[in-house]
Amino acid sequence: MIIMDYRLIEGCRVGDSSAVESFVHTYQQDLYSLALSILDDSNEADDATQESFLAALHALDSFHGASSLKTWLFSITVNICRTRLQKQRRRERLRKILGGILQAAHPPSVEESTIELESGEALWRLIHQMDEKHRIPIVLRYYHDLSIAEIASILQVPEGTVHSRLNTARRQLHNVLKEGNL
Amino acid sequence: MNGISHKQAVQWIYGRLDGLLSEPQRLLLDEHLRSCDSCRVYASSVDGFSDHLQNEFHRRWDAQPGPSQNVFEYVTTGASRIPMTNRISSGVRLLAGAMALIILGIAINFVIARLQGSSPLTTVTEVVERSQLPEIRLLAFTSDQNGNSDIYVMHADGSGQTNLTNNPARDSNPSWSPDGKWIAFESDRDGFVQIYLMDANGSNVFQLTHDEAHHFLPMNIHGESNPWSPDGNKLLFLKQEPEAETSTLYLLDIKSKNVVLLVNGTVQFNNISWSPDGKRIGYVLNDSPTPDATFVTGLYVVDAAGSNLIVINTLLPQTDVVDKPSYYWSRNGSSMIFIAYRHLDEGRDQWIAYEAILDSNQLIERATSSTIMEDWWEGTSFVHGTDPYLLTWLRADGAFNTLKPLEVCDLTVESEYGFLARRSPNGNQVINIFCPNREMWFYYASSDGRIIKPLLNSPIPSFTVDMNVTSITWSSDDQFIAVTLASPEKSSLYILNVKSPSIQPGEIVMSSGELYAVPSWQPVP
Repeated sequence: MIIMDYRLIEGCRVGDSSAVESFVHTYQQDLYSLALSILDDSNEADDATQESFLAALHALDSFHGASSLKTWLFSITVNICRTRLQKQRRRERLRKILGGILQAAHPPSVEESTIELESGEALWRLIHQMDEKHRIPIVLRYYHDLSIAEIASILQVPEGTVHSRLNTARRQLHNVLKEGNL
Repeated sequence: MNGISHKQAVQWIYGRLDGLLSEPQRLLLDEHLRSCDSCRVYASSVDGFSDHLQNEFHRRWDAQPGPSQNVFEYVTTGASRIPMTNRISSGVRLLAGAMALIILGIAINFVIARLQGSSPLTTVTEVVERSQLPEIRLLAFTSDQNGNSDIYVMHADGSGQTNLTNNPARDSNPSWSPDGKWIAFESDRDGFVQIYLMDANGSNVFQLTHDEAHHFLPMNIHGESNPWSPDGNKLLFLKQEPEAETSTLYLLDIKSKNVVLLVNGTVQFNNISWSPDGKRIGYVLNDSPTPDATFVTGLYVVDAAGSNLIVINTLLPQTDVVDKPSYYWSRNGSSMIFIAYRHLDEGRDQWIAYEAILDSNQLIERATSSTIMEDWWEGTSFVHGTDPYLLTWLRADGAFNTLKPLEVCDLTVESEYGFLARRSPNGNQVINIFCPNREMWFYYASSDGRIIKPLLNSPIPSFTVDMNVTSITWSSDDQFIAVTLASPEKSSLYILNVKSPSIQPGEIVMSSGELYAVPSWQPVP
């Protein structure tokens, strides 16, 4: 597996189109699924997946195998998703400010739409409100089933920090579930 | 109530969720939960919550159809432009770097010219040439193909072979200084083997030793001469009186010419190397009472003043012996790592990786294996698997990678094979596999075994006689490996490129006889 990854990388480095196709084919579902779980929007996830692949292909020379190829790709995708989340939130703040100034109702954002569609789901409301520092580890742990070491490697923080962020997030979510008798 | 508090139990319930508990902790927690109803209810609630969260995530996202076809098309189309844009941007970076160097060179030269009244042109050229050093690194090696042993240099691609010594005497065993400007070597041009220095183009030759005795540059763990102190100011050499059976290890200060006697030893000195911080020198002696019959490894460390001798073997428990005459320095030089063998009852032998902390003479057991441990590097044990035909890199978290030499040899039946592993100073490994059909392969393994890749597309051509691998020498940046092979009929040198494994290395014949000589890579600035 490792040797196969290596050959794939070498092929992509020199621009071998079949290697690039194989590379995208191998990892696109994983990266899309990661982007979707962070951004919770299929269009945004598509864009983030494209952006992640191109960023990875540009930066292949910097991949030295310190982690697995998948972990390295996840790391790139998480960073791209973080940037997109920050942009989303800036847009959201701006919209709220403008909305306040104009005293006009604004159309709900994608996130708000989702929440409204599933109103009553306090769990999802809290997940959407959580800052990315706590939300991303929860998603990586409980949806992608990654170990603490893998999450630490992707987020480039110590394992203890991952555990601590998970605990904070879990306690908040757990309380919501208990309140809702779930 | 047993060992742990409720608070501790709650913390461990979350630790268990994340797979962070050790086995004893898990057992203690289980015991606590058996005897504490409220904790058990809490644990069950946390477990239930985890399952619920997982189900929620999967329910929400698994139903999504996956990435659109646009992703595949957009990426594969966009990717075709990447090698070109990378080349352009590297070119721009290179050009910008060169321009910056030229401007810097002109500025420096202008200042020097103002101070000395000289022309600035020469210095600009030198600055640009120096900027190209990483691409033109040299390998120094010994060859007697022209009828006399001389020292040659060539580029990593085998081009530009140049005889640096051109002397009728026997010149051999070159070793680059850490700054890549000087080469130390041995020559018998005054009748005895003496140590000399020359600069990188063979000029400015200085004789460093003069006594009527033979002087040799020591060999380190990788079979590579390692006489230079890390700061390049001192050289180690072994001195052997004519007809004597013992040699003595000395340290020479190149500038002051002061010589310090480090160790009176025997001719079976081995693996002499500087610690990375330049404070100590490690070496191996044969501690056997019957040295002609057996080799008993004795590990020693002495400081650069020749004092504070540490006999590593005396730190070991009585059950343990040093397993092989090899060791590694920790990166900061404060400790030495080696493998010991512990003979227990039949079938229960153990191999232990020890780290000797040299300031406190303390031994720390880093890893233990019930199968042969070849070495240990920063948490990864390199062992023979329970299947003896499996080489295994076992990391501290229990994860591992393996290499099956017999698969490399394309054999399906168990058969005898040989292998040799050599670590670079950065911990990466080259694994040399000799197949039963006499094919010879080389593999690269990263220091923790996560990356294992072949360095050849086809085996190094076999010979009509058996070849011995006499040295494997890594370049300082782990990009190239020089391998020498010797037989009674031919000795050859090959260069393996770690970045471009597909290139079949060319053969550089060093001798039409059996030549045991070790090449040396010019350090990358």
